[in-house]
Amino acid sequence: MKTLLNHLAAPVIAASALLSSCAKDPVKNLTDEESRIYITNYDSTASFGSFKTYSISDSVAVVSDGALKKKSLNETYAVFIQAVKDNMQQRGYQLVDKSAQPDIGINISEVVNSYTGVISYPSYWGYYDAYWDPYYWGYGGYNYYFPYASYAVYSIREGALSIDMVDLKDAGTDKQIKGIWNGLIRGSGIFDSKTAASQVNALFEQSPYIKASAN
Amino acid sequence: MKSFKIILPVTVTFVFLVTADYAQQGRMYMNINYGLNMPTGSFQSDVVSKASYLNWNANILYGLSGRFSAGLQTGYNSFKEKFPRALYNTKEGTVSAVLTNAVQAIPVLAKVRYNLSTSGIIQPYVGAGVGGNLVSFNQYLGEFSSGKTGLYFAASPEAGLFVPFGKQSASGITIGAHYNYMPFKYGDINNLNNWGVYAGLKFPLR
Repeated sequence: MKTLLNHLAAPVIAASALLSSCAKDPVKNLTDEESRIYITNYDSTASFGSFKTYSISDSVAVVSDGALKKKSLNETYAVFIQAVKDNMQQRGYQLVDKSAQPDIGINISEVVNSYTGVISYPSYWGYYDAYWDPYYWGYGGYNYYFPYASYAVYSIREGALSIDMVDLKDAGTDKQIKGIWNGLIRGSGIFDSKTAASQVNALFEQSPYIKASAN
Repeated sequence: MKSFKIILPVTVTFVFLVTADYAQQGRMYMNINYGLNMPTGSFQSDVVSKASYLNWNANILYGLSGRFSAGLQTGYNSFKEKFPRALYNTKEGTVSAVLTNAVQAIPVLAKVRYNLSTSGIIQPYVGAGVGGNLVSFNQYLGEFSSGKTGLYFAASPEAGLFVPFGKQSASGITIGAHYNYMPFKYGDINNLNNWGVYAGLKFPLR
């Protein structure tokens, strides 16, 4: 069993100059696919089987240096959105318009930092209503709440793709919309229409609990 | 007559041996070797399971007597292994990643060597080094790394053979094996012990 260090949060610790001059970069020959990591978190108390319908935003939010830059749709974003729809359908969920009171709302965001900054669950999801105003889902004035936002700090310099599912069915209690699942993709070559679908598939494959009940 | 003939070779041999015994005394030698190293124990089961072909060591030893020499040794060891994509449950969530472990070490050891024989075609020796390792350990999930660099205790017993180029030559080939104690603490990792074999050259410096 490989020993896995708890380290996604830590900045890269530079080896001494002597060692780094001796060592070749151990990961310089990774392919784009090998460079990517797929991270999923979910609310363990959420009952995915109790949801039946979902709606997904028709554009992707570009969040740059912590601020919403734009919402847009291009060929690659369209592939990401379609791949989420395909996976949700396979898991037994029905796509509806956001005005039809869906049980689950899904947003996709591209996260970009131009500096080596720390992107943390608390700071990214803490400003989530600036990227995806709950008014969009018909819950103006509500706040988001992400139960897995208390841990996980990433040092992000490159682009990342974040897919968030929120529970709209139970929104209203405490005027809060709860996040129930996050899929995060980090690494090289993410925004490529040829590989976008397989990346989304990887997130869903490691999330077998996302499944509507049969009846 | 007969006894004289017998005595003479013994005397000559004895003189030769005595000469050889003192041959290294007061001289400085350098050894440079290329090596192959293999992780053992938890280093092998938890970090890197494969042999490393990126190792060298070099020492400068001063002959204290015909058989004992002492000096300093340094070198370089590099271990690396990339594992196929797999799922890992971490504090940050469930992570699918290609995991790579990479370890580099630069030992600096005070070294002693004892020549079991100082003449002949093959001259075995044993030795030991004690000192420190500058160790760099990096674990990569995909292209994202974290790790630790630090100075740790090092001890390295060895045994080998010196094969001189000629009967009177102070230069020759060395072949040996060593065990490297490398305590190292990071997470669940307690040591990076490994053993190795090496081959190289020995030659006098003056």
